[in-house]
Amino acid sequence: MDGEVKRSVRFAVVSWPLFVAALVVAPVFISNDYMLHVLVLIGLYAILAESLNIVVGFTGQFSLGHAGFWAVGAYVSAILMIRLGLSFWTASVMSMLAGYFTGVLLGLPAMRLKGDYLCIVTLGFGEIVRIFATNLEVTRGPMGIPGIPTPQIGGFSFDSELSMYYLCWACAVVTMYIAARMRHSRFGRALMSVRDDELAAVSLGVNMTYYKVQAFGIGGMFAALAGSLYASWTTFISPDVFQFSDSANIFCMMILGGLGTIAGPVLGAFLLAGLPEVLRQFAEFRLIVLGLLMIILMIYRPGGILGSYDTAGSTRQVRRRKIAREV
Amino acid sequence: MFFQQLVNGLAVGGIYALIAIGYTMVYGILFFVNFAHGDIYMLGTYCAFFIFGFMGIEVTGGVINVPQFFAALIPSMLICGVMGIALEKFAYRPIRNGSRLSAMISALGASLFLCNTAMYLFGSQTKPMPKLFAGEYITIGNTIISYIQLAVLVVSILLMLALHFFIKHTKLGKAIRAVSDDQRAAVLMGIDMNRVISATFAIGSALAGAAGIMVGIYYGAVYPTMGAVAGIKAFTAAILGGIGNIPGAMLGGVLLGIIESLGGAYISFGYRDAIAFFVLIIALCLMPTGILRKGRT
Repeated sequence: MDGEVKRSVRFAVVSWPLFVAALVVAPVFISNDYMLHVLVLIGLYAILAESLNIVVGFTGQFSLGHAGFWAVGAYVSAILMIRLGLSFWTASVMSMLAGYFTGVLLGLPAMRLKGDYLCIVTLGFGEIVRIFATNLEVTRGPMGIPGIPTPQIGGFSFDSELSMYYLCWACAVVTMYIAARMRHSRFGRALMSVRDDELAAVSLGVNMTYYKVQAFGIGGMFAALAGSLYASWTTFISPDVFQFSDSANIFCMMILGGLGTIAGPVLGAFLLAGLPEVLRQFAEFRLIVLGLLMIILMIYRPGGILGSYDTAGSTRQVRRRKIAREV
Repeated sequence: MFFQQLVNGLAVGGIYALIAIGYTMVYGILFFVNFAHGDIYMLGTYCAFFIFGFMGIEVTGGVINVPQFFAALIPSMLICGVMGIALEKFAYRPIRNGSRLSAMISALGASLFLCNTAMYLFGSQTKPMPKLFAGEYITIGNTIISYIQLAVLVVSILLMLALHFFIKHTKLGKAIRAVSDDQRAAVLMGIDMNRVISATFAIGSALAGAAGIMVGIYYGAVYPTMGAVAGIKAFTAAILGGIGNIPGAMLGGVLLGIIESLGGAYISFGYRDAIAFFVLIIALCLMPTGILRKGRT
């Protein structure tokens, strides 16, 4: 192990328990339901941003259609629960499978495309999902699906904000943990090698197609989990919830926090999902300020708030590209 | 039916093409997608809305004539051009040497800023726009062509011809072509990069402003979020034609408009937008560099 890895391991041993402990005790200090509501929302966005991070941060595949997976998860889960009477747990596992396969499906054209072309294809994917949700009969079109049951276990029902807070953040922590473990695994290193230098990765025998498709699949799976949680939490979903602006928002959370880091997307979720709620008294200005903030941050800290170590790869790549252009 | 949809598609396609040109020109020079472009287009519509108000034209059910149309078109294009220059100066110039990713985020930020500023200043509700000609039309066979569709087509074609002339036959146009061909060599030949980039943004934004006014009059409505969908469509058009390529953007816009209209009529109106995206995805997989590719990507 070199020094860098050792340091990051030592950091992880302290930071993970601290983070989890903070999450567990937080409701003791936050008694009001509105704040808990905001925290649940942040937890859901944390899952979304973290799962997008696997696609964009680890594998370097641009994706501007992440809300599409979110919608797939929410609709599959809601429809299975209402039409087939499945429990939340079965439905959410099914929705994660659906998210995975949708991701693989989207990964197929992504094999051939990169950069801006990939952006537009993923963006188109998000729109296509929304258009289908608006037009299909099973999704009840623009009217949406009301009365989605809440998760239940034994006799206990997750119908309070507090119980949903624990459920959502448990899922968020699991997602973060899996992402963190993945990053240091053979699988994760293969993803990052594809990101840093496709040609070199392929020359060393990394099956690029497989990893790109898997990255989309896994990203889609966790986003679908967030969707499934969202559906049962709000008990109502409609196509309006899953707009392009949400995909862009999730993308920004990931970038602002720090692309390719584990804590970054979660921090981004706190900033972009939490701040607008906290600043609700300035409702008219909050998105204006947010837009300005994004520009300013990109000028002064383009790697994101936590991004320094991890973005080294991408800046190196930029430099290499620049050199290549000059030669 | 077929020809009717073709005419509808051409009118909408001309508008997409005008917006797509802005995306493609910026991409050809700076290699990033200016997500705030759709919002400049929206501001163009609002400019016209206020100019009509200033001229004392009733916006609800009002009718304007051709001189009034141009009286609104030209100042709106100018204002949009200036806004394009300002946008580049504040949001993109400071990070020009950064990664493409930060440029993209900055663009998303600028888009958020413009859209929400418009919402704050003008209100989020849809406002009516006056009509050009009082719904008159001509009939060829079974095909109905309204005057407004003709006007949109004619103005789009005129603007594209003007752009073509500008790019091919003026010094600044030559400089823009030189920079998009080879930035380094262009700078070494003494071309002022900043000037070229400002000009690119000004032209693209002015055309988007023109498209905004025409859409406002065509559909009779203006609202702050109108830039999002139009922006996505125009971006699609730019990629379809081969991004970085101006004739490609024109072709892509017109094609997208026609595909959408025909798909909406023959397959399903509700899935109209989805059809456009499906075609795009298939086209990209088969021809990853667009229909008219640029030398390099």
